[in-house]
Amino acid sequence: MRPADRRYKESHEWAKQDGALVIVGITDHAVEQLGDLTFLEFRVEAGQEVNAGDHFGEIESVKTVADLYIPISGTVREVNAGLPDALDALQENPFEGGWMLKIEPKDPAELEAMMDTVDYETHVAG
Amino acid sequence: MSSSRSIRWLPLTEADPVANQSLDEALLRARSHPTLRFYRWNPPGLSLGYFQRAVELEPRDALPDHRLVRRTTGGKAIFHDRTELTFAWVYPETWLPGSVPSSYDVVHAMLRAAARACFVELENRGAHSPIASDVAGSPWCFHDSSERCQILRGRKVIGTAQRRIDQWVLHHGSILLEEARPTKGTGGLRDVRPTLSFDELEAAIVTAFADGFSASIVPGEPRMEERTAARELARERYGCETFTHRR
Repeated sequence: MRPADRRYKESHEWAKQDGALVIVGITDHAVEQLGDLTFLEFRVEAGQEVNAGDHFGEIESVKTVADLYIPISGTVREVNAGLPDALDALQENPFEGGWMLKIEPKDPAELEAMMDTVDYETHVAG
Repeated sequence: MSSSRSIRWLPLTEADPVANQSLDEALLRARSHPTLRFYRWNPPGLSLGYFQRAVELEPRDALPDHRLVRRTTGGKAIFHDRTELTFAWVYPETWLPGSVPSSYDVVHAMLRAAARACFVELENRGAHSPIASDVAGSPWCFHDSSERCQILRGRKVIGTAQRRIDQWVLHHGSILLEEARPTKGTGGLRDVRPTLSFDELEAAIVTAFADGFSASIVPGEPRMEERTAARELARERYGCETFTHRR
């Protein structure tokens, strides 16, 4: 069972409330589907306003480059700048060491509207 | 049996490296129809992988005349010589659900079927490594094999890579009919079938995709909006030094 302390998007991002911020990353399913990760580049920086669905970076695995998408609108407060050089952390533990962004949400209701763990498990299994 | 699936086939053309890469991305971003496009490079191109550092290929003075371009797909550099057939396969992820590596396996199986129809037997490299065309530390795709690579007589002859945007996939493939000049030690399908033509190989791949996806083939051409988007991408991305040398 995946962590129940966060919400999920159909496109396999997770978002977890952490005080006034929301921590964002991609799920173990996304990582598994991608295969061995080789490169990661973020396209956003702290202070930048973002909207859900915006593209915030790219990740490469087995010669495949995939876009990363913002799950929740708000202002980026922190980027895990060390992650591109520590892809093992993302490969091995996408829910903790593999976090990507911390966002100050514009509308907390957006987080509530995302899938809970049970729904996400069903989505992935389907 | 009639099929509800169809693949738009954009027959073999020849264009410069910037135009080729721009049209491929325009087709991907249009997300309009599964499309199989074939092309050659004139002048020859040197394409960098999306994340590759340009400096890895410097100096380039000793290389045959070429134009440098960066792909939107991953992997390492390819010298697209006059004896390469390139394809761009654009499709929604729903056509090949499963993992990214498994999508390579499906497409590679179709390429093997196509080669077989041309009397060329390709093999999966599998766990056997290194192979004769491998060169440790080389920046070239064809000097670096992985277990999924398609090989002929122990040498890599096809290089493929993908880009995924908004649940659509661009799968690039470079098929060597003959070894590209700078990447010595590789091979080409003509090593086995010296008379193999671009047209024959293209037709075999089209048939293999139609069979593999149980789809009908509809010859076509890029739509007006795709051409317009390609021109824009050429101007703002693939023809720009800032993108080519972004790393």
